[in-house]
Amino acid sequence: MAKMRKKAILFTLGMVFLALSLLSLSFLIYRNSLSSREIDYNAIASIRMQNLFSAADYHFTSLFYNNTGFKVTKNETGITFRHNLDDNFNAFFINANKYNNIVNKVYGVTSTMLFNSTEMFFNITKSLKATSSQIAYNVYSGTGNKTIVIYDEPSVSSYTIRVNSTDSNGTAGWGTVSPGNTNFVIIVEGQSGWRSTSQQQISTSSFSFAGVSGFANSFNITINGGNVTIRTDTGNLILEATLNFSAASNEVLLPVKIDYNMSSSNVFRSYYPRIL
Amino acid sequence: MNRQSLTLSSGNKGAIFSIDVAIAFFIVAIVLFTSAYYAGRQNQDYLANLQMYKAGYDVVTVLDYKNILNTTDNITLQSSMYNLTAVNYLMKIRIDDTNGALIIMTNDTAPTESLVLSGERPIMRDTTQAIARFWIWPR
Repeated sequence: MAKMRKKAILFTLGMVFLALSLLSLSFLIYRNSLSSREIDYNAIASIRMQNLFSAADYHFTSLFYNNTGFKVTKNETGITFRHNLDDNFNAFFINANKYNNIVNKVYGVTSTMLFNSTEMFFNITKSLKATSSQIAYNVYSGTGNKTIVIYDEPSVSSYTIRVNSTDSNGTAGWGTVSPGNTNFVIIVEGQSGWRSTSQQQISTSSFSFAGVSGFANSFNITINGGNVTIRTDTGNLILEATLNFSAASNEVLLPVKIDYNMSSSNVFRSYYPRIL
Repeated sequence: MNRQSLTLSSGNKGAIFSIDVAIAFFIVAIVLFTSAYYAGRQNQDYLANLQMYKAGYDVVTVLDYKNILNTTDNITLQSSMYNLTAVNYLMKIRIDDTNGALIIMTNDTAPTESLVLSGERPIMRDTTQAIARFWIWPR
């Protein structure tokens, strides 16, 4: 009798064990099904977000180039900024705001654009190290003097500043030179074919000063503390600044910060669109 | 005598109970594995749908990059869309202004009886903002 009771207990335990196994298996299958759906929803949200970011990058960049007359180009040896100093960014900001509004409407995001309409700060970053800015091209386009400041770590090996003027003559020359290893070339060109070039090996950390004589208005370049400052009170000039350094893996960022907040999907992004 | 009949009747009951439990487990297991199989099939459908959704966005993105969403010519939009759409899908694109008024639309009609996925892309047509919507479904 005791033997039978023992068998019955073992039998019951076996059944309980089997039942628990089946129960845990069904629970696992249920959980797997739930997580698959979750992955699916996340994947859909991710595709939508990816599309939003690619659309925003493309349109902000297109609007910038179409509305400012700026040209930013890159090759293996450097990055060149070319623009008319009379250009302002007003048309760009108006259209970028319009685009931002449609993004908000389509995606139901809270998207804000942060920018300074008189000071455009183009950061040049290493693409693999996006947070550390090495070089910046800064345009102050308010009323009065136009000022361009190129902030630089000692990574730029040479500068070429080319000025295209409607004046009929002008001569580039250096007032003060602190000798060093950075090659600095100033080229002044005019409509009637005249051209004046001045080149010096300078130290960007010490004070050097160059200017253009013969222009109707003042134009000068100051180099000091690692920065190059170009100042003019005449607007009708085309400035082309070429910064030579290993540019292969660098990006130029638009000086407009975009903040996306899509709290329903837990998506937050704060970034500067790439223009190059 | 009494002991023998007790053993017989208990033994029979035990065997029937065991068979009953075994059959019950068998049925539960079949139901479980069948549902797992269909759940797995459903996941495969999700992936196919995701693929189709992404293909739709890719077509609209390329049309945007090529500046074709800026066109006012229906035939240009239609033929460019056909050229870019994978052979196993069909698409329809409609561009609206911010008030929802139609600017341009392709000719295909989305079916009502099969799965149709849709998405949208905010665009600029020169200096005017617009919304490019697309619908995509299996051919």
